[in-house]
Amino acid sequence: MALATDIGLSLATVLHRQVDHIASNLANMNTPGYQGGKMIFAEHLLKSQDTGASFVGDYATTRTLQPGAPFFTGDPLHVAIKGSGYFAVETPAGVRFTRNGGFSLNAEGVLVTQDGYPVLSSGLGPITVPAEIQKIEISPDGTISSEQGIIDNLGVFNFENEYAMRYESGTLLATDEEPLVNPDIQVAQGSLENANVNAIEQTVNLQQILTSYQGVQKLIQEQNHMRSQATQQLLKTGAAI
Amino acid sequence: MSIQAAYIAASGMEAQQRALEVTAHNLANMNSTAFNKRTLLTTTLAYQDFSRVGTLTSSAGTVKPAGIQIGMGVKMAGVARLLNQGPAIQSDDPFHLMIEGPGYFQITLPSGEIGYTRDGSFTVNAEGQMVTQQGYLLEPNITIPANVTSVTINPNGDVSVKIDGQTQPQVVGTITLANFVNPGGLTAIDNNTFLETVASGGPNIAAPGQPGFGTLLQNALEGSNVNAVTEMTGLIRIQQAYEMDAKVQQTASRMGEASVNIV
Repeated sequence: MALATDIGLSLATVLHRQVDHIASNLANMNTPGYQGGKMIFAEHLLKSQDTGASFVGDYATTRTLQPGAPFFTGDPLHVAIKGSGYFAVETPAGVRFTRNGGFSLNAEGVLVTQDGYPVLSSGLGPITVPAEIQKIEISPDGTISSEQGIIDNLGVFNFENEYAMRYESGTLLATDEEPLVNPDIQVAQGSLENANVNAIEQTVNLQQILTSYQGVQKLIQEQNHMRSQATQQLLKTGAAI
Repeated sequence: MSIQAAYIAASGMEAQQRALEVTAHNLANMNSTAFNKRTLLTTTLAYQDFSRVGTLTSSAGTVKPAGIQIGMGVKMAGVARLLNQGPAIQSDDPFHLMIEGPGYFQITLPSGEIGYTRDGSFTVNAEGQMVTQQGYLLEPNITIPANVTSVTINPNGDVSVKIDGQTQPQVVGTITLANFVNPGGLTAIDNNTFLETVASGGPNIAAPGQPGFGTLLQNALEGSNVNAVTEMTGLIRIQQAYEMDAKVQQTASRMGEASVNIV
């Protein structure tokens, strides 16, 4: 009977983490470049038990790779990637990747993220915008130019296995995979990619989690009840003897 | 129980509240001269790694294809100022100026510091000096002599006046502009005025029309670059996200209740 309680607890623990995960997805619903995710569960079979008890464990969180909808900001230094790929960013810890294109310039005219990290070109070098230009244009293929001509190009990279990337800080992702220059990139200037979190789906999930959680707590409650009844019965029988 | 989810959702609600404040500020300043729309940019808070991607799952060298990472919420990353030029608004006042292209007017603040603004709604004070609506002097200062019948400010910033009784117009000064490598890095103070920062870099000063500087347009003011429709769609996004975060709070609270009911 203790086993049933433990199985129930394994589910309750997993549900706790899942609700945290959904909370994080929803909190970042308006974070540019955020890739929401799902939790994947796996069954843990306990072989030593002849009852064939089956526990549940969380196995992985995966990022949803489908692009989010772009939203217009009008800022010439805001860029949204249409389709696949990631911008490269030079951080003190090494090159990191992101789909968050909310860039600006620093005092030296270098294109940087909101954290002040340089955004890299397809050759993995920083991009410097000259001071004396009137207007900066980023064409759909990532070419950065002004009325005085081409300045540089914006690097967009793909990976063989995008799932091997992990979030490090903010919307920056770290990976050991080799970045491959995306040959036909599509970017939109003046827009940011909204988080790809589907609010409706997340709300339905929340409802399901709540129902499962209430169910499992009911199960544990019943177990407790049965156990205390059995104890009472034993005590009564013992007293009679 | 479920307390973490409640904190995560709270971070979302706070971010949405800040976003609403930014939107309210944009809409309140829709008709402020040369006001720049602000956009709140958010980013994710720290992640908790329950299981790392790429760790060995067997001695045969198989690795975990995906880890368990749970984000701990959202935080503000920055407020971006939209630097696009606003529309020209016609004005009859000869001291109303608009900068067509990049650049800022320089004004002497009461503290002695130089402030930068694109608000060109100048006027003259009792001494004939060109000042802002707050009475702060334009830098370099231009003094308009008495008995002037007309004032002309050309696109390159030269201020010429026609004095009653004289036939030739007289140049009394040249308005210069300041520009920055990163104008987005200026810090805003009140009255649509900015101060230089480490992020903006120091000012480059030149006459209007020099490379990288805009030209002046007399009898016009720059309108704000706030677009009401964009702000309204932003409001919808903010509201939806806030409601979702509230729903998470509710779920977390009900899960807590269910746990408490066991005993």
